[in-house]
Amino acid sequence: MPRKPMLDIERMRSAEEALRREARRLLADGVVSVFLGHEEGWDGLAVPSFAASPEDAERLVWNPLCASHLAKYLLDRLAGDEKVGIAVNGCGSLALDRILKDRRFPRERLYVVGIPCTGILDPARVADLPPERRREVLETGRAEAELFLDRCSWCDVPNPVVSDILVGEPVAEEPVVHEYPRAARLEAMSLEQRFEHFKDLYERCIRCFACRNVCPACSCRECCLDQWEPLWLGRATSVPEQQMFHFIRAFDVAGRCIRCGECERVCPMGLPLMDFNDKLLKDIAELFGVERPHVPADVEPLGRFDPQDPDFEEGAE
Amino acid sequence: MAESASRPEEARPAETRPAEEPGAGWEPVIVGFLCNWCSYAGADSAGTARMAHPPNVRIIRVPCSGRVNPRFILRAFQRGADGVLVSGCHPGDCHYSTGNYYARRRLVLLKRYLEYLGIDSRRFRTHWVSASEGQKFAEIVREMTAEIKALGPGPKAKLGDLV
Repeated sequence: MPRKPMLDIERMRSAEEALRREARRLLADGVVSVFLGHEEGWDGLAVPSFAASPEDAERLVWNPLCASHLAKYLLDRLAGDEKVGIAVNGCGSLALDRILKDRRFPRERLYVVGIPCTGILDPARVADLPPERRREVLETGRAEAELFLDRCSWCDVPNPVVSDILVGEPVAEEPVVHEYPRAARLEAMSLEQRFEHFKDLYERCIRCFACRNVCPACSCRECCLDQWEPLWLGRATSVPEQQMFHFIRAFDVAGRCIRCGECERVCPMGLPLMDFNDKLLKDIAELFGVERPHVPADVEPLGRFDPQDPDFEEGAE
Repeated sequence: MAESASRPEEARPAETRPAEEPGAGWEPVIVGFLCNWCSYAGADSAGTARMAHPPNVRIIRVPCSGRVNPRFILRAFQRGADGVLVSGCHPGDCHYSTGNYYARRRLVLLKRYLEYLGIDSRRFRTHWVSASEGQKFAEIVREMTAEIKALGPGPKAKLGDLV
């Protein structure tokens, strides 16, 4: 049963106040050398912000358009041993936890400010609204379900799973029955229809790597997609190479995908990339009995096994 | 063995040569990833026991079924394989104790995923063949070759060339 997200603008405003206060304190006391948050960018959008001084902290915002996850920017801070502050909401903390569980950034170098979350809007969908309506939505928080990010519809982690301090009271958590409508829609099609659906995607992909770059589960020191020796991925943009690109991107994060849908959100061609990930999440849930495959675990589904796993020779399909 | 490997293509019996075009005389190409410790030896024992099976499987020896990266399988299809077989030690018998258990998880997931991407999952099979199961290996190859012959050429035709 999908969840119905509800924006709480008042709560967001007080969280924003507390976030600035906290960031100011951390930077002034020298606890952290930089604080990762959001600030207002062009046309009212929220863009990542890297506050390096207490004055910078004044620019930090927390509003319904703060969709981007900040955890991946930690990889730019790997050098040195200074502490880094970071603001995360529920799903942002999954991205952060992914980086931590993949052992890509040391927890002891982090100061995590957690923000209990009541939902985030899809900036692209809000941008398409008429100006009047847009202002109304952002000021009152009265937004229809379609304006929210897709991940809000099944969110069962409104409160950060990783944090050193919370700004605001935790949000009531409700159990969610996880469904995978994107995969189910395609499964209902014929083999040929599915092939054509994905072929169209392959042909439109410009292989800009935005989906890989934004993905919190895609953080290898050296990416196989960049390697020349061996050449895992040819440079031609033929259908098979595009297929291989999308296969590698999705299958290599199978079991570690947090289902944030950032790949799809940042795609400049608007490709339905979560069609791939949704299927893998669904099958991992079904085949290996993982109830919440999007929540990072110490050992991920494909990094462990059960002798009783489904087996081909016993008819697993 | 060495002699047959160096034999020029034309000298091979027609039925072992894949025909470019489907139709009369078309023979499917099956790429078989066999683990060194069980299935490769199983295939060998089928050979030493002189069991007849179709020569359509091109065997690639791997240290363990866990060595088989799913992208090898997709690449094999893209390069023109009509079927792919991955075969390893029976669960519990892995030379490295657990490699085939990890492989099983990945490959069960892959089988469903291939079907999802529009590649008939009947073209991809995984089996457990021990070193002594030459009979079983021959049976699998017979079965698989017949099935893929019925399915016709693999996905390369609809995917197009790599470059």
